Amino acid sequence: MEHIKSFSFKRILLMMQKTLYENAKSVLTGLITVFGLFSFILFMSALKDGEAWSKLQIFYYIGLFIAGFFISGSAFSNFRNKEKTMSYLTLPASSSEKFISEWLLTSIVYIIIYSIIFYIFNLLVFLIGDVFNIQVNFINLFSEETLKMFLHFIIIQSILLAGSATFKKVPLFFTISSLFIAGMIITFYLTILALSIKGQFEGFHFSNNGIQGGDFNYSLENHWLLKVPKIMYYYVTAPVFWIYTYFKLKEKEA
Amino acid sequence: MVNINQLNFGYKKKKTLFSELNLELKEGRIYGLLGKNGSGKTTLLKQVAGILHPQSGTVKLNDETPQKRTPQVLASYYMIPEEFETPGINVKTYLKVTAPFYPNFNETKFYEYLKEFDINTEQKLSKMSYGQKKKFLISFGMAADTPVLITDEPTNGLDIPSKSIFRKLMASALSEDKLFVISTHQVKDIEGIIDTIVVLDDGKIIFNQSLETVSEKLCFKTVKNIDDENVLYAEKGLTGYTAVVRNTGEEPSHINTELLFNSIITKNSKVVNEFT
Repeated sequence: MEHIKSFSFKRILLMMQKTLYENAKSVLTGLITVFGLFSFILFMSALKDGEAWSKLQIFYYIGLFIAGFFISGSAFSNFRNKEKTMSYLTLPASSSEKFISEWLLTSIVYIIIYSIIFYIFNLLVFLIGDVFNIQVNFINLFSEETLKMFLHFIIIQSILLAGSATFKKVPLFFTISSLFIAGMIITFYLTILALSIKGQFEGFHFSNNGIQGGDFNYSLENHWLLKVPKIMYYYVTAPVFWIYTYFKLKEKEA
Repeated sequence: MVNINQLNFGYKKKKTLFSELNLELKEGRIYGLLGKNGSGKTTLLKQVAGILHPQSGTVKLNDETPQKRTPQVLASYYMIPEEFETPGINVKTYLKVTAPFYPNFNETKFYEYLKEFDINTEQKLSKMSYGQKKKFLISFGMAADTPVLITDEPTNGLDIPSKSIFRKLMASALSEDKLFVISTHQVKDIEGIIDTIVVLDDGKIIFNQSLETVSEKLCFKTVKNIDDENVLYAEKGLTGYTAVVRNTGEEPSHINTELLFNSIITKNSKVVNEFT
């Protein structure tokens, strides 16, 4: 048998093609639902003051995250049952190729396709708005704010991708629930930690400047403790969850 | 081609299924992996395919560890599982998106096999009956032209004519550089195509012999009396006993696979002792 390279971009493309063909129906249903909902909201708004028509950028962000989370939550859909898992694991592509193809599809490719569809939607809304004399703005896909939104999406999406590779049933629900519980624990821990710095536990409350109350008044704004979560969020979260997903995929059994 | 050495495995840590299991499967042969329900056949096949990891010991497929799941090792075998799910696409689309992963995939042969099995290529896979899906997968697996073909209960769900087509196609697809493993508990279905019998019982390989060796040592015939010391195993029939008899005079006989299997899995099997 001829030697087969352990990594190939062509196989990544083949994996993406296979996933797209096999999941086209559910992806289309999801997109139609999101854009159907947008159309309904715009229609209702047109009956009132038409204000929503000028806020398509917000619609774009909301849709990006909601549809994106559903798509990421349905990644690795082959892991939902044993039979599909088996055929997925035995398909001749490496774990890294399988991971990269799922990641590309649910992040970069998704953002591109969603943006194109939204732009076409925006154009249609503009043309309709023109007829009915309603002001419609075009979304800006390359503003600093939009690019930051993409970054947030990719970071959060890495957690959902990991959840999809971990949970067999309703991964989106279980991932969000796990995130909520983890968030509660971290918040509780940080609160205790922050309070223990001052040694004060009674009569405190939170404000924009930190934690205040009683004789306790301690600004955490520039404290290094607050920089840690920020650094963790921007630079650590996504790589850690990507590595986790890759190993989950590599060690998967059926 | 397949080499299992000192394999230990259990789904639960304290309950072992395979203990120090050894098995070697060579190319140019069709192995019949036989065993009762729950004997560990599917688990053993999953170990060979690298879908399950051994607790200790090694599994090698073409000198590679299948558990690493490199494209090289994954492209060297095709597994037709007993239970499967097919996507909601038609045969042609499936071919387009899956066949490129197998470098030796033979499209012409694939359509020939489908024609033999009378499968409509325009039909959606998810709309097919269980038997049709199985025939589709068998066709795809054989057309993938991989050095190793692993099939788990391939005749389950096939009607009688399809079982016979399956036997015919499997026999014609084998070549010197290929290895086929057919795992089944329906022994009769693979009679005439396998050339080596491997019997797995309670997580142990209790028999691994070529049919050539079996026919050299054993004879299958109907006898009236079972008191003869050469009778190793017998089942009562209408006209006497169907028996497995020690072959003393090099007389050729048709191997009754089902009888052989029953004689092997019997407690303190005389037939197994005959080969040790």
